[in-house]
Amino acid sequence: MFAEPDLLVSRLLFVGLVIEAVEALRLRRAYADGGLFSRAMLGIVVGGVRPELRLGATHGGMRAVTVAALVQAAAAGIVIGVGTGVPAGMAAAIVCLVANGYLRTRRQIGGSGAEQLSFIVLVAFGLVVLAGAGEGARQLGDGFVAAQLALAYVASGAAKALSPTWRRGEAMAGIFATEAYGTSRQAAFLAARPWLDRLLCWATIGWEVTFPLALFAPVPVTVAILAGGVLFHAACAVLMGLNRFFWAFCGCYPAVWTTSMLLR
Amino acid sequence: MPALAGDPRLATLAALFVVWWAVSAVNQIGFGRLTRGLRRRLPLGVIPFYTFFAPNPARADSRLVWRAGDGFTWDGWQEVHFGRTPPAVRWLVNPHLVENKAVTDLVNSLHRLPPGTVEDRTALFSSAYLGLLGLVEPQARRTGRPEVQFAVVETAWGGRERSLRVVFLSEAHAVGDGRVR
Repeated sequence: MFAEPDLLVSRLLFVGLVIEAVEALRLRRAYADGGLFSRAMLGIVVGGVRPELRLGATHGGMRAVTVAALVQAAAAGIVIGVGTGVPAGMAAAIVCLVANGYLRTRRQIGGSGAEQLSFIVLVAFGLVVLAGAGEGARQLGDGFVAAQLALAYVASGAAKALSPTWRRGEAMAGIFATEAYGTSRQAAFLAARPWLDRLLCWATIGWEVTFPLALFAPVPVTVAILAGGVLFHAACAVLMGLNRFFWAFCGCYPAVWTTSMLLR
Repeated sequence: MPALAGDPRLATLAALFVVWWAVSAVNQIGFGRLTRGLRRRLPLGVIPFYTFFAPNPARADSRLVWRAGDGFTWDGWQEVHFGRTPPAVRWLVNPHLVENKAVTDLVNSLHRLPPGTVEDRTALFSSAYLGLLGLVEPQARRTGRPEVQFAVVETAWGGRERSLRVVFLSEAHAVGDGRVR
């Protein structure tokens, strides 16, 4: 990802940042007075939290958010075009970090794991740049991103394995029964096939908790686990509308690949 | 593997990443005063908590409804609805997910309030309650009626119909001159 910036797959995460910016632009009116993310509303939401956590939450209205989203889209577009291996790409990635940080703190609510992971990767890249952005620093950055990704999947898989709903194989039907993540047709399809629900639940748990094997196992196993991840996130995007998870998580797979090659 | 010896910048970077990852890992287990303290001090969610639909997966949508009244009669319930991105395009862009998730976040915060806070009315001063009230108040003010009340309703597909369950009902609040009482 950072160590092989010339590869196009190393830039997938920035496609997600363009999409995030487009969504922020689509929602820009929500940041105006009276909107869901207006300064008054955010003032209420962050009223009880520490000052350092609400830094920037009530600064800037619709115009500031629009500018930040446009800047993020443009900077992410530059990274997609040139990669993070050249000074222009590195500078654009740092601009992404600043714009994304502002958009995150300005909204506070309604965030997702995809946004969280993307931001962590951007901060990690910022540290890599501070350390000189040499090959060693980039490999360390890749190792950190791979370790964070493995942690994300294992923690999520373990939490599911501890959940009676997931263990009984009833989780997917419940998720598809919501309007936010499913449709009535999907819910009915799965409700009529409880065996499929069980299979999907246990396949998700099994794949998530075994993900760290991608770092140590023989190459064919690594390829199979990463290919499974691409299918998993593509299915989540198409069936559940979790569009940005695909770009954020699959965008980190090049870091897993590079790290697994170094560990052999 | 990168050689750390002899390059203080690389050694510092490696140490930083190791500490960051270790704190992130401990945070998944959910214990530790140090981890909680760090989460409360570090902005922007850099200490992550990964669960993704676990242990309690979403089984219903949280919908925010409100009604305006005058202290004697109430108008019908109306929904604060942000819309849903059509399934045909939400795999690519899904802005409404953000808005609906924001309401769900506020509702979940309301559910996490300590027991008894609704009965002793301290819930009324929580960020979640005030946030939801702040969402419905401008809409109620437009009706010209002096009072507003909101409720959280959970809905889900159940067979051919949607199930519906009221999970929270607010107090009635007076609205006027841009103030809520």
